[in-house]
Amino acid sequence: MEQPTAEGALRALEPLVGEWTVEAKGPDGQAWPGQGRASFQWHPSRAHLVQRISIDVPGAPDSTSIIGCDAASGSFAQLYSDERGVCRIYSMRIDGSEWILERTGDPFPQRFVGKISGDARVISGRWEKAEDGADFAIDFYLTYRKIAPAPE
Amino acid sequence: MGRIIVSENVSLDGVVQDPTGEEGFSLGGWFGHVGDQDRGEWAKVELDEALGAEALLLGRRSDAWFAARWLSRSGEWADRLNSMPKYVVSSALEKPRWHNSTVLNGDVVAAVAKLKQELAGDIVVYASIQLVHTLLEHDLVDELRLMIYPVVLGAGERLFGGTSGRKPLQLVRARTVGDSLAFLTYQLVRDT
Repeated sequence: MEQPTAEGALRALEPLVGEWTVEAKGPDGQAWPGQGRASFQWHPSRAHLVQRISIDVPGAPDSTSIIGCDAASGSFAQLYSDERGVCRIYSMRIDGSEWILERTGDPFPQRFVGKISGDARVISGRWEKAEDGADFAIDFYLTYRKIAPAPE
Repeated sequence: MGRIIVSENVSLDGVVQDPTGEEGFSLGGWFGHVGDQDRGEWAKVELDEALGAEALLLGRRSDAWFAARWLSRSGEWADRLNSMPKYVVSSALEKPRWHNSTVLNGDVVAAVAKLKQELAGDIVVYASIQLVHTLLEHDLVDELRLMIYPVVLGAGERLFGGTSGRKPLQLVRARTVGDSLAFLTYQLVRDT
């Protein structure tokens, strides 16, 4: 039986590829100090995207995530890890205008909803969490701004 | 006349050692156990303090520790910390690591008392625990600002060592930062 390939699904990740600045704001809309940088680069396999984030705030853990897809369903997963030793698996959706990460279970359900600008140079997102397991509240806002395309 | 403000991040049991987990202390890294929102709100408090301060006063090891971490950073917070005047207490050091620093050598108590006379505004002390013990012992501290992290570590270098006498304090502000941090401001009560 012919196996479906991932070309179409992986193409949806292209807008992420490159270098970004990351700014965070609290739920009250006030900016948090500290600069952040994110990079998305293709793994040499070209089948997975490697996301690295570092934030210039003492104690803020650098994180590394691997994004891959299920070729048959066109769905994505993000394997998140950070310096604290925290590892999480998020289910992910992305198209030209929206990037969504979701996770249920302990310690609380959480999700990221990001709007991708028309020119794909700004992603305006927010992390939400449901500490009671049901009602989502904004944890913080996160804005990605692209500073460089992916290195050739 | 300047004011000496000791501003410290501490565990509930007063431990100040290795908050970021970079120094190899087995219980270090306790900054990392609060959530992103708490860390963001904490950073706002720290930035506001830096913007409102006139100068930093540091021990030699803390000068090196902060310089190693902040000189490579950018943004408003890093720019402020890197550019503001600093006074580094050391009998051995000739050239501090951090920018815009002046060495205070010789008699620490006399040097800091003179600094308080010469500067107006807040002279903030970060970390520098040995120096803090000396300043407290000699009644040179005007205000204590404690950001209390929600953890009991049970071991490690503590903010308060022994003092030769009681140090009465007046609580002037108590607020919650984020969901889990308690920020307490005390002024030292001078015997009159």
